[in-house]
Amino acid sequence: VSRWEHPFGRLSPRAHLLALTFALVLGLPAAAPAAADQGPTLAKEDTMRTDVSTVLVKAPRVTLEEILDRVARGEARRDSLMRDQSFTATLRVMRDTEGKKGPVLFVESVNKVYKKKPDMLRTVELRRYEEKPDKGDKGDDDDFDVDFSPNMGEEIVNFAFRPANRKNFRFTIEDRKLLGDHLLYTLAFEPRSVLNVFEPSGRVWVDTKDFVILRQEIDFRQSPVPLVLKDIKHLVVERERAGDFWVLSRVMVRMELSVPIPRFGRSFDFAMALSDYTVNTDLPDSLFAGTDKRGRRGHVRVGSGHKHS
Amino acid sequence: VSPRVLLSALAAAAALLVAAASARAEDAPGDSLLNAYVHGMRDSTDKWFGSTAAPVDTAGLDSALAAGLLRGPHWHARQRRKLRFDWGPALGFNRADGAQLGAGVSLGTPWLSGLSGKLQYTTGTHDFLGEGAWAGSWRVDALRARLGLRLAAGRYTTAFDRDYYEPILTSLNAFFVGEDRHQYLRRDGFSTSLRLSRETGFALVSWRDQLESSLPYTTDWYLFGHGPELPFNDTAAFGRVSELTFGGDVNVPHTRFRVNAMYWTSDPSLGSDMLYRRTRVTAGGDVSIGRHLSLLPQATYGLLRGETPPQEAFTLGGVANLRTLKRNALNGAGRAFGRLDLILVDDLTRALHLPVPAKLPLQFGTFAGSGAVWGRDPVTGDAAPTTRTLPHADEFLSEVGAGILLRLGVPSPLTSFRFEVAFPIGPDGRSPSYAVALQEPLNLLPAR
Repeated sequence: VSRWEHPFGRLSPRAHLLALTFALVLGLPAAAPAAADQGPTLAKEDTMRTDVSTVLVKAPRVTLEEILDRVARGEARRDSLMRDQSFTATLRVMRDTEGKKGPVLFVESVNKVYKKKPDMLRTVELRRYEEKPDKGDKGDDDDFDVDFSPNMGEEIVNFAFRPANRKNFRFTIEDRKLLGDHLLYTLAFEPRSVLNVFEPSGRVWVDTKDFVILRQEIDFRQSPVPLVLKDIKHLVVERERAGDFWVLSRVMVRMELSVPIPRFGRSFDFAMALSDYTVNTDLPDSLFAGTDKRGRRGHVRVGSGHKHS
Repeated sequence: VSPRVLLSALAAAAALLVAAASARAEDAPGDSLLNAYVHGMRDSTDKWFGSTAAPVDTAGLDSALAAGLLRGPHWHARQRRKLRFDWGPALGFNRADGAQLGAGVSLGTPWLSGLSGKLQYTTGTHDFLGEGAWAGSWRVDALRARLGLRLAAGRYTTAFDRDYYEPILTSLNAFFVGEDRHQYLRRDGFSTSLRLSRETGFALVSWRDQLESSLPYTTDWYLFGHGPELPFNDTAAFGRVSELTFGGDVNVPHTRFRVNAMYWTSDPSLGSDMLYRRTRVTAGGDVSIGRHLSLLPQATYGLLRGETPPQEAFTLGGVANLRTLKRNALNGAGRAFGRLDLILVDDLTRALHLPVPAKLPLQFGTFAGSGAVWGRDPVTGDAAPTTRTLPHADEFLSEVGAGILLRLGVPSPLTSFRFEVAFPIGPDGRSPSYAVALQEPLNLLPAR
């Protein structure tokens, strides 16, 4: 070690300790700029040693089957803890998404949705827009319907993990990531039957802290309806955190028709965004009084008319 | 610095600290990494979808919500209470009725759903066919199932073949090329069915009370010529039939196989003129071989006990089962048939860059089939009473073949146009045949 690199190199251990103490008590505030002036100084402490013996950790790595079981249980637990929820649902269809002129808004519908267990549902239409409403429509047609279910189960997120469906898919672990105190698994799934080439396959991101699904990307090896739909290019299902819960926030899909439709084009996007969530705020029953009876689905229509609020 | 200014500064600093602490409490360090990761993926979605992913314009939504809540929860319900009315043409064609020209209507409200009617005029028999029907269904939460009830009454023309008759394609075939090989009869009366369905299967019980009678051969023309392939229509047994049906369909656990069983019984003790017991059991499923091949075994077995009216017989031949026989070429009181398909599921149009219109997926398949009918009158060829439950080995007719499948996905994702060539096995006078069929790979299993 050169003297330049180790200014205390020739001192005795006792002097070394004294010098260190002195430097710590008095010298450091002043020494810092001085050291900066003189360039970097490297020091190696070779008088204090410690050994930590290797500890062999023996624990079985969580198996894929266990992850799948826990995801099913985590999703069920998540559902069971939800008593009520409200959100703003925006449905949007964009046409000509891969055309030269760029995407054009074809339909947009915004609704406020209230749900309460066991099966109460209320929807309030906030806005409805259609690019080309049919002539003569008075805003009461059924051209574009979206049904909300009173169920809070979010089957579109966890369909492959449901006990009844799990046997139909083959799962593999694709990736693990440690993010803070969350271990995030990426699982790939595909239909177990090769005959069903039109069934979804894809990847899901699972937070193993609560064993809930955070995101899903879905592919289709072949279109389910090739005569009408040439391709489903990209389908993404996202969740976001609302308080203590991960809730469905977006479903977005881009599709291509086999035959272009006049005034619509060939490629289009369908997006459903759910925002402004409240969960378990004890929505009053009076909010739902007189709505559709038990079991009946709520009904949201996107039909005709220009943008209005 | 005055004490007042100092106090103000301290208060501001305290407020900042409190805000920072509360922000940290909401987004704990462990969570922040996860949230950042999730947001990163979300950003990539935004980028991919562009303006489709743009946030909604929230201007005016609050006031719209306030107005919507004031309107009361009945508003949407009132919208739904409107009477719905739909109608459409109801057309058909066969050599007994001739052209069937008419229309069908359906109407309903949330309380009166599923009411429908149909009326047709037949150009050959100069008659009217029609039906009035009501159908409703209800959730059965305890069983996680749905219960459906259907009531119908009317005058119908239907085919002898109770197992594989598809009216639309058969009508098109008869109308354009005259190649309809079904036999037809008239049914007048009512029927009702009760069905409990869930994802894994269904159970069914139904009852019908109908007068069955023969139809004459009236129409010898079709669009592109004269003289259909069969210039006659077989005589049906005449009589009032009171028939009770039990049926079920279930997935075999832990497999991708399904079993369907049906039992029809008609007995004088039920007020029927005919005495028969008709049983049919069908099973099939798919087995994946690697990632490209699918093996599809399927089999059906049927047995008719008691009287053997022609309209209750089992048939063999045609695209429904044995392709190297003409459609419905053989009739009997018993039928056994099995088929094994091997399908290469990959899309050949992509792999071979074939110019197929609309880029419909093209698949390749081979098959082998074998079947027999027994309980036949050796002179007339009609079904005859038998005590045998199984065919003799020498009654089996077998074939192998290959073809391509152009998957349309309509009406079901597995529905394909199948262009196949079949070769008979054995020296029994059959010859190789070509077939075009619109069907699912597991075509012996009835649709759910």
